[in-house]
Amino acid sequence: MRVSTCQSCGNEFPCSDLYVVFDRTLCEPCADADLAARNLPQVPPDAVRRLGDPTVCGHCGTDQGRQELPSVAGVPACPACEQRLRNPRLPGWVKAAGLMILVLGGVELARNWRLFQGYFEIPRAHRAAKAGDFEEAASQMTLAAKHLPEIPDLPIQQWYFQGMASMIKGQFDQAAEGFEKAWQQAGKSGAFDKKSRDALEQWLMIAKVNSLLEKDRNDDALTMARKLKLNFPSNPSGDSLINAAGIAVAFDGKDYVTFEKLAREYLASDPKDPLATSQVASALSCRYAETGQESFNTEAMELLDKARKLSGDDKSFKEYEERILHRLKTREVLDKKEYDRRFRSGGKGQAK
Amino acid sequence: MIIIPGWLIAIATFPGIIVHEAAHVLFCKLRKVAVLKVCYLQFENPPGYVIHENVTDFTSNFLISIGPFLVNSALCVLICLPAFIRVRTFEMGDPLSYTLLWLGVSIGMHAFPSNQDASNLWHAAGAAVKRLNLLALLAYPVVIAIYVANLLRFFWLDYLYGFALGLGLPELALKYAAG
Repeated sequence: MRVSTCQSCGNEFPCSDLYVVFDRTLCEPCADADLAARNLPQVPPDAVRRLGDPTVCGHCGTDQGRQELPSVAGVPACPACEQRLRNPRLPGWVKAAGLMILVLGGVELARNWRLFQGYFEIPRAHRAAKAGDFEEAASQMTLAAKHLPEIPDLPIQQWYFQGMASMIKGQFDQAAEGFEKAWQQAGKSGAFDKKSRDALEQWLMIAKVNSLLEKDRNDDALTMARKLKLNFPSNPSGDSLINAAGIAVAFDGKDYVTFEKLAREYLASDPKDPLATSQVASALSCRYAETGQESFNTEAMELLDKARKLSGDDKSFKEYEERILHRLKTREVLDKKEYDRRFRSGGKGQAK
Repeated sequence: MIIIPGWLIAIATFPGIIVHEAAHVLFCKLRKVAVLKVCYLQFENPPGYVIHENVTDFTSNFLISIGPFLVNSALCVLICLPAFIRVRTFEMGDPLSYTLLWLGVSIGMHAFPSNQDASNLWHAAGAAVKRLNLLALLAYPVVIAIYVANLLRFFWLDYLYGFALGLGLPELALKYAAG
């Protein structure tokens, strides 16, 4: 500790107890008396300051003897005080409040994680559907429906996409099942408007017609196709499904004239379709088998050539062509089931 | 313009004031700058303050001044984003979500440097640029932006910033991320 003398009373005091008042070093009582005697309305700044003692910590008052302390913000500070000032700690309540906010934020993030997942899965599903990848669309929408059970139209979309994916794969039973679930749920939940429910019902009927045709229930398929056309006249598939079912019914009834007529109507609607072309060839092959009239054979062969060029490497065309050629060669009309049984692997008969 | 008393805003958004001052303290600690006094919250002007020793180097000055801006902004987004998706996107808000949105926006509202912070930084940057301090030169546009933003606090830009950061940014981010 350092000591100095008051220039007014002459007594010795610790430097930390003395003041510099208008450039004179004074003790506290003398400083007060000096200022009172000056009778100033306002003391100018810097006219009065503490003398200070660089050997005494200005923060905790520890006396360091003769050792001078470094200054922190103009005030001597002992090592402990300097350490404390340069490493300030947040109060416990600030830390606790901060921790609580972080915990609440974490809880909110954890419980809302499924919302984020669902939020991103829905547009992914729609993008996939737009790109025609209904398999992916169904998969993403299934996840979204699982993550967001509060949204009633997600399962409907999920089943719709599943139906579309099955349609594309030619799995008409599964497609009909998907559309049926979607349609029924849409009716129950009220989440979809009438237009959307009607669209689902149309897809359901289309899938059913295809499913019935696949099972050779051609009369039922024709009835369903006509119902589709009656209920939804603007559906573009109505006419073609009636045509397809009509062809199947005509074939079953060995009414090859009607078969040819309907096949030609179909071809007229899409002259570059290899299936439509080969269907006319098929009808002509049946008529050739029935009548033996050579012109049917000739035209059938011409149309087959055309269909072959149009179809490229389509396996379903090759399968169809094989049966048509058999009719033209043998004048025997076999349906696919019988032909497969007799000539194709897996059938019981032997290939001739 | 409606004049809303500062103390009322301080009450309504007090978490942001505490975080602002705590961020100053943290950056002081990071730069080993002595902190002489801290007031985390008071219901008068200023609603909070940190008194620290004079800082001579620009880096410390810059970090201590913009520390609250960085910390408050980051916390605002982190707290608001998870709550936002429940409240705004799925309209399934509950007390926890609304509380977190209030906390986040309050914190975001106090991200802007105070008058004193902006003034300190402005003068420190000016002096450092004259000394051709590289960081000061690089940071000068930020310093100008902070200074201007601070002036625009008169038009409640700081509060608008809190709302934009807490509610606007999550909306944009979610829309962008979802494509």
